[in-house]
Amino acid sequence: MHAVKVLVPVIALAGCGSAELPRAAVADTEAEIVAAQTVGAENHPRAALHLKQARDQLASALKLAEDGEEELARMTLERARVDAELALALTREAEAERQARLTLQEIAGAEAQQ
Amino acid sequence: MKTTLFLLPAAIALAACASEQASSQLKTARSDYREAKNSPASQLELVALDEAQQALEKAEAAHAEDPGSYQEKSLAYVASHRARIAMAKAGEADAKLTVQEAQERHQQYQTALLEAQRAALEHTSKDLEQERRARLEAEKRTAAAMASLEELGRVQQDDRGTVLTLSGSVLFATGESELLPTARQRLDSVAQSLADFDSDVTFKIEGHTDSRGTDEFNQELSRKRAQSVADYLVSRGVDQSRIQTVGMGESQPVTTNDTPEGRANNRRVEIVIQDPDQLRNPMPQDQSGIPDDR
Repeated sequence: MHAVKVLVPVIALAGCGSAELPRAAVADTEAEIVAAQTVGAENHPRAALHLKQARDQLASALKLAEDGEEELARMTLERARVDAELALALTREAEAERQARLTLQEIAGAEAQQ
Repeated sequence: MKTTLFLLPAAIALAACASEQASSQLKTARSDYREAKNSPASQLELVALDEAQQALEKAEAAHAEDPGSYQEKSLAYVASHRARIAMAKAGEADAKLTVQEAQERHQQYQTALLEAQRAALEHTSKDLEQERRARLEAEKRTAAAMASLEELGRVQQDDRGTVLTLSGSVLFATGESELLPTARQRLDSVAQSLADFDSDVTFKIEGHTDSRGTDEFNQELSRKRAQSVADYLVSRGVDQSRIQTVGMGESQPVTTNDTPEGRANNRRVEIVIQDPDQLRNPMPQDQSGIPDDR
């Protein structure tokens, strides 16, 4: 949802030509945010924190670009990107660990019955 | 890759010289990278770890150029996150590896279990087959023994078991309990037939007389006659422990004692063949076949 929200100013900025943020870098960051949301980052506290930071920093980057702070905007966008990636990685790790615990329990249960 | 690996210690060494000016973000990034390098990421997530290393090098370079700058802090932030991404990815890979190994172990366990069950089933099947063959052999022997008995005397079934009736006049002289010479040949055949029954089959030899003479005399005569037959069968190889004798006297006539023919039929020796299997599973008296539980 946040990703959708930030798309509007990006398009607006691109339209007026007042920002130098690479469209691909912004799109990649937005894609990472959507991916983290999709795997359920908001259900894991640590991942949710980084997801929020990713959204906030993406918004800041866009604002900085609008204000003509190109270098700061670029660095902020990069930070938004790694926060989104970390949110995604932490969620996938937590899900894999949950699945592992479940599988081990199922196996132990099945072997105990045999 | 080799270049970065070569340059990083130098960069860290340079940074150490200026450690007082290193931002907290850079210190965190260095710590996070060391942690990642010592974690399973060094085995499972080499690409992600390399990205973290390159990010840290950029932060160190920014620090060297302008200690405490915004760029240093921003790049250190990125480097720190890259290190933690590498560790999280390694954690995911490690968890998946654990699942895979557990499933493989479980599969091996299942295979071994199935193999054990199959072997047990095969063993049981062999046992059942041996038992079936043994039972068939026993049934054949019993059938053959019964057939041969039917050639030696009257054979009938009653609640005592299978009863072979031998005429007293064939076996003994009137009032005597010593076997006639002609009886021995017949009893040889009887002994041979009895030996063909399974070892758990027992034989009860009952002596019977007609009603002439006193009860006491007839009782004693019937007992002695049963014992004579038993002794002879034992001498012909029938196991003594399987034989029981009893004198019934004149108490159980099979027909009238008023005629010579009737008395002749009442003078007899009966060999009751008692098969434990048959006694355990008697034919139902009730034609419905439903056992009476009372």
